[in-house]
Amino acid sequence: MSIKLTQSLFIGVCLVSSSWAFAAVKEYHLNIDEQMVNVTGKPLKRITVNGQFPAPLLEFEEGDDAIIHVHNKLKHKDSSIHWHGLLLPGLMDGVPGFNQFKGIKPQADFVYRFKVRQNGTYWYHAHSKGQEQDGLYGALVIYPKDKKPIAAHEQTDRDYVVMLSDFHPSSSEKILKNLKKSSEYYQNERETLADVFKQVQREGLKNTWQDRAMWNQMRMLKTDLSDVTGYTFLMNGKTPAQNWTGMFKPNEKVRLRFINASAMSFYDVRIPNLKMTVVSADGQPVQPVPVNEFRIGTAETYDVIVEPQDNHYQIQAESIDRSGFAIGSLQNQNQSRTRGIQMPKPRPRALLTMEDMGHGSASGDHADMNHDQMNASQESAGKMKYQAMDHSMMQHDSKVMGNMQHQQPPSSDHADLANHGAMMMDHRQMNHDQMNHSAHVAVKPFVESNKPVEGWANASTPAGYKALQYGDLKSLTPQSDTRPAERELEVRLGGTMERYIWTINGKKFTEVESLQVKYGERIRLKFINDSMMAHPMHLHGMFMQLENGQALSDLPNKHTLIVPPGKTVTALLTADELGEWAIHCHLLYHMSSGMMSKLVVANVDVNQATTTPSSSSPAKQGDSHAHH
Amino acid sequence: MRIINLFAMSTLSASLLLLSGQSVAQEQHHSMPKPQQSGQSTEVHKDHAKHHQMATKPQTVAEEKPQSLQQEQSSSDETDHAAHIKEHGGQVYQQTTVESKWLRNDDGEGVLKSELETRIGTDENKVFIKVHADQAESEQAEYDAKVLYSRMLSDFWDVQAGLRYLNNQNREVDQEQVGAIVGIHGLAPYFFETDAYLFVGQDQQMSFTLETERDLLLTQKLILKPYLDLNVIFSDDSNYAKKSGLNTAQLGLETRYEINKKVMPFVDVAYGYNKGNEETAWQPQSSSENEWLYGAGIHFKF
Repeated sequence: MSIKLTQSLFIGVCLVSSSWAFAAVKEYHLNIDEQMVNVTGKPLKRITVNGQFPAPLLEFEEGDDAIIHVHNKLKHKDSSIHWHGLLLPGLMDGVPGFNQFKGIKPQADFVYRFKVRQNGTYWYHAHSKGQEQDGLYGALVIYPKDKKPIAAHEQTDRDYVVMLSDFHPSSSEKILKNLKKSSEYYQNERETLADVFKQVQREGLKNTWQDRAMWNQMRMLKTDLSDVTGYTFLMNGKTPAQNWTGMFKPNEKVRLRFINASAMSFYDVRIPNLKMTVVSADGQPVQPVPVNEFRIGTAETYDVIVEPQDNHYQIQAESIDRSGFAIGSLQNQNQSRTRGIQMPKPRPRALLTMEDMGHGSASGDHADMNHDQMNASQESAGKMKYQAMDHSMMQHDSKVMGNMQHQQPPSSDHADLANHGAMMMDHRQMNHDQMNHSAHVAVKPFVESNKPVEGWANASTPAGYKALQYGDLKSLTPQSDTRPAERELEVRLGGTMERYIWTINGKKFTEVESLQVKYGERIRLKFINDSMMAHPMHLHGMFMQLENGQALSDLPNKHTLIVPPGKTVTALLTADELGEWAIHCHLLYHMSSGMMSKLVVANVDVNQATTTPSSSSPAKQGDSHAHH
Repeated sequence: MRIINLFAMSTLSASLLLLSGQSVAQEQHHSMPKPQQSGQSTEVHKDHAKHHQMATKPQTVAEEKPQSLQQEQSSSDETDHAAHIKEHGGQVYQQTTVESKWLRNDDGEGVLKSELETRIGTDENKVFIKVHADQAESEQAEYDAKVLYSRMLSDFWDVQAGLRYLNNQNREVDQEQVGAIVGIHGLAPYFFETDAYLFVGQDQQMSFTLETERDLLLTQKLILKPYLDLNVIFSDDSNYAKKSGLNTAQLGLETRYEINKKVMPFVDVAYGYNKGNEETAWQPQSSSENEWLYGAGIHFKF
């Protein structure tokens, strides 16, 4: 008996040690502290990690055993670190209040241990209050095993992280308080009376009134592209004046790992005169897409490969409210710099249109909204998409449109339809223009007309230039799960700008009931944006397969999905990770004012649901690792 | 002269209040020890290969502490959980505005109007405190203070209920009065910031007040604010009874300059109507009058 026991123990030890021998242990020590940092010329107290602002780059190889010791040296403040986009046990995900993780108390430590089961570009950040804005964010790069490129086209000579972030002179706590005092606190590009007069001159009094009546009834601003302004945009922690520079030699291939580590900002990214080839989205490899520019939402990542030939290029990441740029350079290392930094000319800021408006007939205050109007704008939206989008994209959108119209209650207000006829035409025209631009059908450039740029999606991309669309993304490796969804989970995104309250399915996180999913279940997540702001929706712990019109096996994996204003975005999800997973808007102050929920993946075969991966889970992790 | 002094003083006291609020807010930050490192801060990752200052010790024998024990903290799970949930929409916020303005009518009679409004609470439940002080030239100040509980009703509206306290030392009797007040507060369609209250007090006093205003931007900082204030008397049997019906109305245009979002000086032009008072044992009847009012003031928000 005892011999048997020792034998089995021995075998056990052998098994354990063998797994140790194969996997390298990669260990980091991170000290979270508060220090004065000087980014913009004025020393400010911010959060540092190992004395650095922003936090240092962490590097792993696929298959590593990650051990990360985090020491919270903040006084009186709990902290936490979340590994954004990583597949790991729930406790290691680092969200306080989820999976028994309680945050890291002041002067306490937490050791994160997990098996690295993937490769790609990710990042990490605090999940406690606004600490992410205050500096607790950094890049996390996982190379393929032995740094062997996963495909021939990914073979590069250089590899740089390009982390974009937004630095504010006020602390996150202050910013949120200000937004709660007045949601217009940071709105310094609102429309003035002069803009109204210009519109009257351009479109006539009647059309202007009809257009504005809608916005006024809903109490929304056309100019609300970003809730917070006053940011200095940073590239790898450097201001435009400090000009982060990546060196290259002619004929080299360079991989740029773009990470949007901002708290509140979206960017349009371009490198004038240099074609970029997108090879990875949210850390997951995609079939190469050559583009001139791309829009990157908060918390998204894109890897691009460039082959610079000139001596100098400027990397320009312009915030979508056009309040500034994050600027850096690519420089031929054999050539000395010839000129100083030139700030690029900002593109025109877009105004939100009817189409970008929420379709929220669910909420009481929207009940008086004219549904003819809404249908009209949707109709026109549908029409222009047929004309401008490639057909795979169209397929997807027409489905979405169908769903939307389905939700509209039948309208009884026929008189208004006639009234709004003129406006309907006008909008069809307008949306048509706008979408042509974003879909790159050659049309006249923007600047020549005095008409404002309209539509959230309108990046003012010059004619003939290709901007990345979600519909372009195709997974490099076929999806292993191509089952259809067993059911649909609706995630309605809403909010009241005036009160600065943001909700999921009409509820703040304080009032929310978690979304329940069976382990192994295949579901469709349907994000319906009823608000007039874009929300980058992030799911922890698992990748979503974005339904972008591609074939089921080609759907790209994403951890963060931009849901544009007034639009619906769907994704398939295989619930193959047990645990409690946060699902939230990655705009920091939206999350802080309620826009967060919990998706629970549990075994429900027994009467007691279990979410804590007990003994079975490590084995499972090992398995999935073996697959790679 | 005296009124100007008062204006200056109330402005000064408002600014002092503002400053004190600021210093209190900053104290928390100052209580932290002064940090050592200042100046250069940014370290940029030019090359991944360079990035190995952090410990990358190979093969540390992992002491297999059960992970659930690593986070042994004294506080219970529930309080932690509740605290965390509160970080996502359950926070308590406050907002305070202080306004002081001096208005003159056509006859050169001046009045100093001061207002303090503070609200504190969560999105759903708040307490509002509103204090108005009106001081006409060569008279004692009249005070009107309200304490209201405010409950969020819908996206844009709160319903409020509470007590109203009136103090007027110019009167010989009934200098102090207390009544009940209910109303709504919110943002009406077309961005009209609106407060409407029903007041019920002793001696059959029942009245309705409406205040509504909206911003029109000339520039981002120079802002016009048309406003309308109404007071309707349904009944009033008090010693200082006002005529019933629409008793006062004031339509005004305030033009403010937002030096920043905290300090906003303004000028104000308004046209006012006053129906007048009933005749009682303590006051003669007064007839209705219209007057232009103009003046200036300053508005603080913090």
